[in-house]
Amino acid sequence: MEPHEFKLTEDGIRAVLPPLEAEIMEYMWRARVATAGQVYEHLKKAHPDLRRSTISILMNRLCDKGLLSRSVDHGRGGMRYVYSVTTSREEFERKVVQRILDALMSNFREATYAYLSQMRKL
Amino acid sequence: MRPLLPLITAFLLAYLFAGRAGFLGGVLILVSVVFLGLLISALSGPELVELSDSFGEIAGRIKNLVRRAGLRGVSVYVLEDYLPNAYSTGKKVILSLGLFEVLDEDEVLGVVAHELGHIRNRDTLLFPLLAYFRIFAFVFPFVMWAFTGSFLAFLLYMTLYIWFEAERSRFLKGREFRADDFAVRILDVPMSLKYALEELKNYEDLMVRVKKGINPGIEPKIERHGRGRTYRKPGIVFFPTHPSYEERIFRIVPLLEELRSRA
Repeated sequence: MEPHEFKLTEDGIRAVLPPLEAEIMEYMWRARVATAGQVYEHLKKAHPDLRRSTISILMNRLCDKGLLSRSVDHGRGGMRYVYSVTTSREEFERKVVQRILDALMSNFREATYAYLSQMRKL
Repeated sequence: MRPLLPLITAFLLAYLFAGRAGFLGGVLILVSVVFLGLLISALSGPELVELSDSFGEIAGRIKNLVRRAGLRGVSVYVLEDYLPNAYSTGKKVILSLGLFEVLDEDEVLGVVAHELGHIRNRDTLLFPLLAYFRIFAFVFPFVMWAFTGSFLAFLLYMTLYIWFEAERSRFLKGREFRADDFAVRILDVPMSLKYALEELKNYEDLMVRVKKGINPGIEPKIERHGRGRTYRKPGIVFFPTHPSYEERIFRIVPLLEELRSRA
């Protein structure tokens, strides 16, 4: 997943993901594999108005972004979709930092160098 | 069946324009279209998995629902597709896997009950026939133009085609309402169909917003800003075959009230 936006006013992964998608990913990084129903039940505690369809759409959107993958589970309880994380949180954060620094270096090369070397001295 | 009126008129005009040959030509084209349609639908189709007891409690609840609907030989299948969808053909009800993700058990039963309504009302036989008649109604103006060489005949037949489309749209929408009426009468939780429609409406609305990129951080609220385009539907639909979710919900609510007052 390549982040295209960075919101300076948001904390953590919310800086690069919309709020609800960030919450889904936080749950998924803990669970690693889950159904949309399990994610819904978890998030419903914090968002009582949440709908199943919202979670389903956002999880499929996270699949499109390459952060989750969807597969069919044929286990007990019949067929169902299960979602798995495709990348660890650490790897995701590393990619975000890399992408942002690359963008800064290509747009503000001198200022970025200067700031990084200043930080290194500190 | 009012959609048949423009077709009957088309055959009468064919007789007037080209005599017995025109009439028989029309019959031949109609039979060919129906035959080809049946052949293609028999030979093609998606890969389906029968809903068995391994699906858990819901499989038993669906069997009970089929029994309550007074239908025999109905099978329920699951289609591997993440978009929520359901349809019926012959005596089969097909539910997409995505439907189970978006709806809870009662709501899935609401959707199954609606499909059983289509089977009960023989829509699964009528709808394919209407689809074949539609192809015929569109092709026939060109055939008659070629046959008679009269552009006026072509325009006349195109008018009949538009008339057919209007009647078909009205007829199909009416059948959807009838299937809803049947569904709420056989459901343990009649409101579940309404809830299912609301959830599916929410799904469509959100899909549009996600696709448009209007609001990537969708908040868990239902906010409906006017009647925008809906997912999987073209912007301009002259003759919709399905009533909107709002229309269906609007009709279900008083029906539920009526059923409750009778009880």
